[in-house]
Amino acid sequence: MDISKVVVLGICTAVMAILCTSAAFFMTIIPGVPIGFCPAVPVMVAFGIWFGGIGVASAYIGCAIGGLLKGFPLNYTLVVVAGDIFMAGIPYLAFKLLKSDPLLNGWKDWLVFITFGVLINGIIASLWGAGTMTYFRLWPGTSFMVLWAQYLIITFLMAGAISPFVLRYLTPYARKSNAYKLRAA
Amino acid sequence: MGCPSCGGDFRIKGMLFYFSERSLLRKINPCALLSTLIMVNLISFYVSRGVVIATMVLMIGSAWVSKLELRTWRLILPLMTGFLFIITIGYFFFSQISSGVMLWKYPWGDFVTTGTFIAMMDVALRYLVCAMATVLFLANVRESELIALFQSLRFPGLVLWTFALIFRSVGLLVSDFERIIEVLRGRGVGFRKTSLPEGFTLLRNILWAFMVSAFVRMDGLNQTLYLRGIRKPITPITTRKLSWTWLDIGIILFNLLIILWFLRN
Repeated sequence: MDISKVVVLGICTAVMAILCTSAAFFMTIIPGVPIGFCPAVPVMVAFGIWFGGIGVASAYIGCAIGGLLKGFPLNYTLVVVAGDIFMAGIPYLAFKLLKSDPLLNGWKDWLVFITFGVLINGIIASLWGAGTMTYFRLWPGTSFMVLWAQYLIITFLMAGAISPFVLRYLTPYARKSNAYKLRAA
Repeated sequence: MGCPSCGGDFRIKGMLFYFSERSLLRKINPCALLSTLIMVNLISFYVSRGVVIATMVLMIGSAWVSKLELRTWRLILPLMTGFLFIITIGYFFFSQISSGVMLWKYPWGDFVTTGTFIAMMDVALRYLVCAMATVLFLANVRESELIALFQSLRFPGLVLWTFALIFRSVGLLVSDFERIIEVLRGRGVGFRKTSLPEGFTLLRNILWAFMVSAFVRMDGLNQTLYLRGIRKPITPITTRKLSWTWLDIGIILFNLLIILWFLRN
């Protein structure tokens, strides 16, 4: 593997880990955010679109490290963060296969982003998150629908409101990095 | 003779926490600590309540002998409290545990019984045991020792290189993140309860600054490696050698036996 890809993986993973751990800090300043709030969500969508497999791997490893730093049980963390593979992986595949631009210049890019970068990945990732939380008994099993609804709302809000901003304004920075060029080539 | 302010108990910065070299857990090999962490995490949600309470007492004793600092608890306690709050909401408002005496019923069909409180405390205790084990591990192992641990477990060079970079970057980017918050505070941004749109705008601005600083670090590191002629992560990493005692081997064997017994049953 090229060294620049390792650098991108390392830094992106560290970013994910810190954002995951900082959820408690943001929850104190943003009122009424429901369960499932994670500031890493809008960034992991962008990492998936920009860096492909490296972005998806960084979303998984980074959120796993972040979960452990938050004190989540090891077995729970390793299972629950698998939802982030869907969250970052689905928009990556959609943008790659449908040849969309991360700068979201045209209506087609927006359509691909909303369908695969907010809706489909959000539904699957929130199903996974709520399912694992009830499976590990952190919430009672009867409350699955309530938990899923909360996950869904916050995932749609985070990916829908902040990811477009991240993609529009930070794609030029990402394009300078070697991993993006290697992926494009 | 130690320094006058700390009495010779120097604090060393780990990946996130400061820890004391006088901690008794520092005398145990990180590999033994890791095996204990895995064992506690694997069994804590499946063993009886008595075993969990005994493990919790053991964890509190370990925290005492590891001389954890107040600032470590200040960092970790809000996270633990937040998670306990989530568990409480789930069991208090959205559960249907029928054991025990019925206390009240909600209009949406869920109800609270005395069994609800027992189930809630049970899950919270099991979660706290896992969280304490993770904190104790992270507060007694430096990132260089983690890399040495991976090296002793014969991880490939690429994995070693990647994890070394991740552990070092976490420390650097945490300080970047803290600086961004300080700058925003200096500009008069109040970090108190805001409206939802204001909170999201603040989150967006912090994310923007944080991501730009991460990209700057990424570019800087890539350029340094390029100038030094490093193209592939094959350079051997010089790390410290881990020392082994019979106590470490005993701890690892004990943990392995417990894990095997758990998997068999």
